[in-house]
Amino acid sequence: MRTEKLLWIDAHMHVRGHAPDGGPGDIRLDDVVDVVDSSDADVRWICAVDFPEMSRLREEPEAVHWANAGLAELISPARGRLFGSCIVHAGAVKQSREALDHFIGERGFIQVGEVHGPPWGPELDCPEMIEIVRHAARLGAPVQLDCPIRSLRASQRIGQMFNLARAVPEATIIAAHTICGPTTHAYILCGEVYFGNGGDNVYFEISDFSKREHVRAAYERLGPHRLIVGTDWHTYGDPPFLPYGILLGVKSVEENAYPCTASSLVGFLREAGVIEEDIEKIGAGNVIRLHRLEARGLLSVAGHSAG
Amino acid sequence: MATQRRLWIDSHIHIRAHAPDGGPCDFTADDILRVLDSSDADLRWISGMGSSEMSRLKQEPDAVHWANAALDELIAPARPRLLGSCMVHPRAVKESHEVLDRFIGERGFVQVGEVHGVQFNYEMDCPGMIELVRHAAELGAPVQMHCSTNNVVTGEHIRQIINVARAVPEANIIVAHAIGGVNSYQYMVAGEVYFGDGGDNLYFEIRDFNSREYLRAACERLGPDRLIAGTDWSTHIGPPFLPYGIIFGLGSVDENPYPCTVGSLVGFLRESGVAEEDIEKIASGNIIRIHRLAERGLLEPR
Repeated sequence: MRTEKLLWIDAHMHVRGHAPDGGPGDIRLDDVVDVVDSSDADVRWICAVDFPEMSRLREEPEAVHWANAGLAELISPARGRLFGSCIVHAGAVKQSREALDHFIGERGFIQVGEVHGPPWGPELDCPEMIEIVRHAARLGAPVQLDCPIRSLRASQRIGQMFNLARAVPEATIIAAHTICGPTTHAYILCGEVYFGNGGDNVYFEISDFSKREHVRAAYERLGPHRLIVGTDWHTYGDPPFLPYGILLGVKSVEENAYPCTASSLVGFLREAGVIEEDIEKIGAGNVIRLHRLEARGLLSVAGHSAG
Repeated sequence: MATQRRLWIDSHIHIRAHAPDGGPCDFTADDILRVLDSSDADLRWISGMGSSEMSRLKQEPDAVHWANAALDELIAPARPRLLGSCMVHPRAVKESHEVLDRFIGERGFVQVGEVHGVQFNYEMDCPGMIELVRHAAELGAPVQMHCSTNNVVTGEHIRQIINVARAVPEANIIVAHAIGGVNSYQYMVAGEVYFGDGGDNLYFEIRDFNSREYLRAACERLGPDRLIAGTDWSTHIGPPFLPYGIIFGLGSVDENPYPCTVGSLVGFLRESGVAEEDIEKIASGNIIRIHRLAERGLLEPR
């Protein structure tokens, strides 16, 4: 029974609502739900647009409605298991505010993002983005910000992320895929500095659970209530899609260093010293609280099944 | 003429005032001054103790007076070309308060440090150190704190340093050798977050001027007012000692990839896009301001 399985909510999924060339969607909802159904956990996803939409938005920021509409059309029937994250663009403030009103306010999306800085758009802490994030905060939607993870050469973007969080303290800011790679300790450090100075509105996604050293450091130094799941899964290629739990960038199950299951991720948390109560927070509890899922009545058993 | 040469003040120099076995010093101030005299700049050093004193203090924290007194004796005749940095230890709080009063308050030392948590087995943000930093601030002396250049990837040192800076906002805190090693970006972004939240009392030493990428980023992101020269030169080889401008850790001039001159360091600043006005700040202006050298009459020509 689904309700007996571990509830596991991932805040960072990318699902394309259009074909790779920008045409009408080329995947079915069941192609996505099949992945959710085949998980060993009661998996719920917060889904944002994928590369087809991102590619067009890079050239046409005002196409935010088009981007979000494709996603909404695809995932709406699976609400409760698949939630929407509304894409915005600082180069199109008016259209972004309209998208927030429509998709957060009316269509039940629960998050904003993934918000990208350069080269996809302006700097994260630009005045236009601050205005958009203020609007998101008024609608009660956390904002997920893309954070560089490969090198600290782009570390000024970490500072920009905290600038934005500081400028809109009423907003909940999610630092995307921050606990996973070479830049992890810098994020943990900056989080400690920010929290030490009184900031209280930044949360960190764990994208690579197999990095136990990083998970342990984040857990001990930031605390379990600051951590959420965000594996950055994508709808690469044609269905059937890769299973949930696969590492970002790995293109086949055979290449993955561990079984692609939620249990693997939970096992890594245990190995990192996370206690059961906190595993529940990281696995679902924190997102339930931040995104007010219970208050919105969004925690009911899934309303859609594959096939 | 000396006055025509560029004034260059380095806040991070280590001079041992005892022989390596802890016995009486085996060289004189002249051996040190030869290094300054052979520089192409009007060089001034803020000198902390060297390896001989560190070895003993690791075992005997209350030997802080012994360590500072010997340094004072060695460099006092060369004031203001050689200025003192006072060593303290949070496991000898009483003795450390006494040396602050004595060497900062009476003997003209201008700085505290290098505060070295990890090698001395204490946390830099421990209550004892915060108490001592408050005392240093009352005496107007900046506090220089060790920050790993390459082997503490977690940022633990800068975290402790920022905790101290936050706890004692009236103190000027110098992040030792922050710019130049592989941790440079981590320190810059931590500084940016600290400053963004209103912090205003952190300064960053440049150790490796040839790392232009870090230099450029530090100048652009932290601003030239936050940067000072701190090359970590030490008396570990010699006398005769290695020339000023040599990269930390190298054992001979032949190994250095560029001429050991202040001109080289200035050249690296220019290549990093630093304006002449800002080079002057980094070379000496910031230290003159932070350490109040002009008010203390410590800027007269040599």
